[in-house]
Amino acid sequence: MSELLRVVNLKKYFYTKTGFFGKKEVIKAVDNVSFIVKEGETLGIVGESGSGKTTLGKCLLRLVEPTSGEIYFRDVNILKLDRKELKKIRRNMQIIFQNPYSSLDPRMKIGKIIEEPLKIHGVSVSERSKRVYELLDLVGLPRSFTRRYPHMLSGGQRQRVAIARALALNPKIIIADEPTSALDVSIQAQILNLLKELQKIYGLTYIYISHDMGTIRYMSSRIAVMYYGKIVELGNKKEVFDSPFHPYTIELLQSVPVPNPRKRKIKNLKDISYEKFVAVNNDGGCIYYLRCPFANSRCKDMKVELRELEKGHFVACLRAKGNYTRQIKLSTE
Amino acid sequence: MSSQVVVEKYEQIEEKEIEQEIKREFIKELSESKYFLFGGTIFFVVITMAILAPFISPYDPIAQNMRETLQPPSAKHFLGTDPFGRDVLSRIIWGSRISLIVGIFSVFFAIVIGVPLGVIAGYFRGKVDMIISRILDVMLSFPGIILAIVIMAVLGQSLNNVILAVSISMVPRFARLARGQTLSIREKEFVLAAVSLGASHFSIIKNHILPNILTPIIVQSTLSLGSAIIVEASLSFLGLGVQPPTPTWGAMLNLGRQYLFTAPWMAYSAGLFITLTVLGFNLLGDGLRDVLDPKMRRT
Amino acid sequence: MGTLLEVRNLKTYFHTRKGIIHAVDDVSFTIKEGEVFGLVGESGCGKSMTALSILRLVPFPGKIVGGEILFRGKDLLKMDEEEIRKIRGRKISMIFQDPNTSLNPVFKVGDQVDEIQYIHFPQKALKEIKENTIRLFKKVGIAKARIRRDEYPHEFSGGMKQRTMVSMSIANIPDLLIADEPTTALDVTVQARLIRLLLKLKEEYNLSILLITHNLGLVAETCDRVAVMYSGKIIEESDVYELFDNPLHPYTKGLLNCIPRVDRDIDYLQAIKGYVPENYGGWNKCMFFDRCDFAFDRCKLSVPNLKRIRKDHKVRCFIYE
Repeated sequence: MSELLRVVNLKKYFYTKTGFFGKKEVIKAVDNVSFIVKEGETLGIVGESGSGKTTLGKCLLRLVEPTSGEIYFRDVNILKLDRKELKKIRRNMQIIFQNPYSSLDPRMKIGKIIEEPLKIHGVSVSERSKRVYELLDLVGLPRSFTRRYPHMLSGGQRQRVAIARALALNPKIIIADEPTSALDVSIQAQILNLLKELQKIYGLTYIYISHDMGTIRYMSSRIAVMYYGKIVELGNKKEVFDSPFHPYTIELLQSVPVPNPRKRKIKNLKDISYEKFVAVNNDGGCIYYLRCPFANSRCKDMKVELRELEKGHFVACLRAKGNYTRQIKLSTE
Repeated sequence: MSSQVVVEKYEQIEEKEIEQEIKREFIKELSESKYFLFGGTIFFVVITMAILAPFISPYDPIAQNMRETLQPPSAKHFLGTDPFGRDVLSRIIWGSRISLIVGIFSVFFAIVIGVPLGVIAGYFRGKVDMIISRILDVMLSFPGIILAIVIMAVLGQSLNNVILAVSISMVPRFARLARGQTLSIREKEFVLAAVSLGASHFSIIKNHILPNILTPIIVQSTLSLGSAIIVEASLSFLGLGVQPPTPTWGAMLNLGRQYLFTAPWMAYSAGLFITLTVLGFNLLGDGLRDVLDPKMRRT
Repeated sequence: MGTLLEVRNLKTYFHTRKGIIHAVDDVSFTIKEGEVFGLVGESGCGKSMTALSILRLVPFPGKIVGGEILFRGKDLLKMDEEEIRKIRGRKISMIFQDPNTSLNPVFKVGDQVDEIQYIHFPQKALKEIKENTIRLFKKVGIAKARIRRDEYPHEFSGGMKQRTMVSMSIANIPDLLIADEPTTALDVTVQARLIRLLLKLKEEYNLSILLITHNLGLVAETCDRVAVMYSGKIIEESDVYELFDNPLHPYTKGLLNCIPRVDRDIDYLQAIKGYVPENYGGWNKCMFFDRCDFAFDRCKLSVPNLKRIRKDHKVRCFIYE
C-alpha cells in the first residue's frame, strides 16, 4: 500500500481572551500532530470532546486554516496551494459531516444537492443527471428522491445523501466526521455497512473520526487516540484495542459499557477526584499526568514524544515499556 | 427491464402526489391563517382599486367644480367633495396609485440596495462588515421620516424623489436583516460542505445564502410596504411629497385637517384608507410569517 | 422487595396537524423498591414521554388520556396540582439529558440546589440547607464545594453540571429517580464516572432508578430489569440477564446485533433494515412488521399481545403465540 496522505507537525491554535480584562489564552486544539494514511486503509481517530479530532479533520481539508505544519497529498503540500489548485485537490478529498440535519441545504432539492459538486467542477448537464441517478442507486435511495427536500427525509436517508454528495467526484479519500453520532443505533449500522461496502467497491481511503470506541473498532484498520490536541497512541486496531499502552487508551476502553450484564466493569472503576479528572497542565510534561494512575515525578516535567514501542505501535507515554502498562492494567481490573 | 420502467413511473407518480400534497398543505395553511386572509383581501382590494382607477372612479380626480365645494357625503358624491369641489372618492381611488407606486418601488429599491450590502457584510465579515455596519448605524440613528424629509428638501419634490427618499430610509432595515440572517446561515454545515466541494464565494452566496434568507426578507418587505405608505403620506402631509393637484392620501389628510370641524369626511376617509391599507399589509406580513416560519423550523 | 411504582395502561397522545400520535400506547410496568429499571428504545419510541407522564410533565400538544400511575398505591394521575407538586423533586426526582440547559444560567449553582430543598422544607433553617448543599456537592464528587457553590453554571464543565443535577435530584432523598438519557451528552469517561456515582448513591439511599436510554451497554451495566419500547409500546420486558442471554423479540435481537463492539472484532454488522415509524392512530398491525425478517401474514393483520413466556420475561410477538 502506498502512502496517500502525510501530516507533519500540524498545529492549530486558537487564541481567546477570557473576560474584558482577561489575559489572552491559547487553546491548542491540534498540537504537533503527525501521521500518515496509506491508500485503501481506514485511519480511525478517536477522542473525547475537546480532543481536537474535528478540528484536525477540518484542517486536513483546509476548512480551518492550520497555524503551522505540512499536509502532503501525494507529495503536494496542500497548505501551500492557492485557491485554484486547492479546488483541484478537493476533488480527491471529501468530508461527511456529523449532523445530516445541518449539512444539507434545506432549500435545495436532493437532486440539486448531489449535483452541486459536479456542477462546481464543470461536468456537463447530461452527464450530471446520469451521475446523480447512479449515486442514488449506490447509496440505496430511490431515484425519485431527487425531487424531495431534505426535511422530507429521515436522518439515515439524509446521511446517505451526504455520502452520495461526497462520492460524486470519485474522491480518493473521505474524511467521515462522526457520521453516525446523530443517528439511532439501528440506522447507524446501515450507514457504517454502506461506508464499508463503498470502500470495497472503490478502494476508498477513509479517515474515520469518532468518540465512539465501538464504531471506531468496527470501521478502522489503524487507530489514533487523541487527547487534548495530541495523539497519545497510534497503531493497528488489534494492538490498540487488545493491548493498549497508553493509560488514557486503557481508561477509554474500560469506560465503554459493554452490552453484557455478566461483564459489568463500570462499578469497579477506580475513583479519580473530579478536579484531577478535568485538569490539563499545558506546560512541559505529560498532558495526562494529573489523571494518570501510573504517573511519577518524571511525567510532570519531561517532554513526552510519540515513540515507536513495538513495530507500528506508537505511544506518547514515558511509563509504557513493552508489557509494563499491560501488567498494571491487569492488576487494576 | 420493463418492470423497472413500471416501478420508476410509479415512483414518479408518487413523487408528484407528494409535491402536490405539499402545495395543498401550504395553501391550506395559508387559507387557515386569518391574518393572511384579512390582509390579503385588503391588499387585493387596494391593488384592484389602483389598477382600475380610470374605470371605477366616478369623477375626474383633479377636475374642480366650484359650484359643489365641501359637499357632505351623498348619493352623488359618495364621500363628499373637497374645498375645490373635487370628488373625494375619486381622489381616494386615484391616490391609491401613488401610495402603491411609492410603496412597491421604494421597497423594491430598498431590497436591491440593502440585501446585497447586508449579505456581503455578513458573509465576508471583517473590515467590510465594519464599514457597512457603521454606515448603516449612522443611517439608522436618524428616524426614517426625518431622513426622508432631508432628502426631499435637498432633491426637490417629484414622484421619483419621493421613491428615492423612501427607499433610502428603508435600506438599513433590509441590510440589517440580511446581514443577521447571513451571519447565521454561513455558520451552517452545508455552507462548509459547499466550501469543501470547492464552491466559489459567489456560488455559495447565490445557491445557499440567498435562498435561505429569502423568507424573512419576503415577510419584511410586506411589512415595509405598510411603513413606506406611511412615510409617503407623511411627506405629502407635510407638503414635501408629490406636488398638487396629483391626488395623494397624505395631502388629502392635510387638506382635510384644515376643515376637520366643518367638513370632517375628507380627513376621515383619507385617514381610514391609510390605516386600513397599512394594517392590511402588516397582517399579510404576519400571516406569511406564521405560515413560512414553521416550515423553516421543521427543516 | 415491595412495589414502588406501578404504571397501568398508560396512554399519552399528541394531537398534531397530521393526526394523533400515540406516543405512549397502553404501557404497563412496575418498579420495585431499590431496583434499577431500564426503559430502552430508539428516538421516537415513547420512552421519554413515558417518563414525563409519570411526573405529569408532558409538553403541549401531548396529553395523558388514560391509565393509572400508582406510586406507593396512590394514583399520580388523580392528584391535584398541589399534591403532585409535593411529589415532584421530593419523592420522585428527575435528571434530564442536557445538563447545559437544565441549570438556570443566572443563578449560582449552590443556590439552585438550596432552592429545591427550601421548596419542600421551608421550615428548615437556611444555614442548615446550605450546609447540606455542601455535603451533597462533596457526595457527588465536586471538590472545593464551599467555593464551587458560589459559581455560575457556565463555570462548570458538562460533567460537573450533570453532577450538580444529580445532587439536586437526591437533595430531598427521593424514593424514585428518573434519569432520562443522563449521560448522552457526556464523554465516555465522564459517563462512566457518573454512572458509577448513580449506582453508589442508589446503594446508599436505597433509591429506585428508572433509567431511560438508547444505550444497551448502559442497560447491561446498570439495570436489574429492562423493558424495550418500540413505536409507543413495550415489546419485550425481562430480567436483565435473561434479556441479554436470551432475547426473544426480533427487534431486541436486531438491536443487540447492530451494536459495534469494543471487546471484539466484527466483520459485518447485522443492520435492521428500514426506518423507525411514527405511531399515528395506534397499532393496527405489528409496527415492526416491515423491518422484521421473521414476519408472516398474521403480523400484518393484527396486533400481538405482550405475553409472558417465562418467569419475568414477556414479549410482544406472534412467533411466541
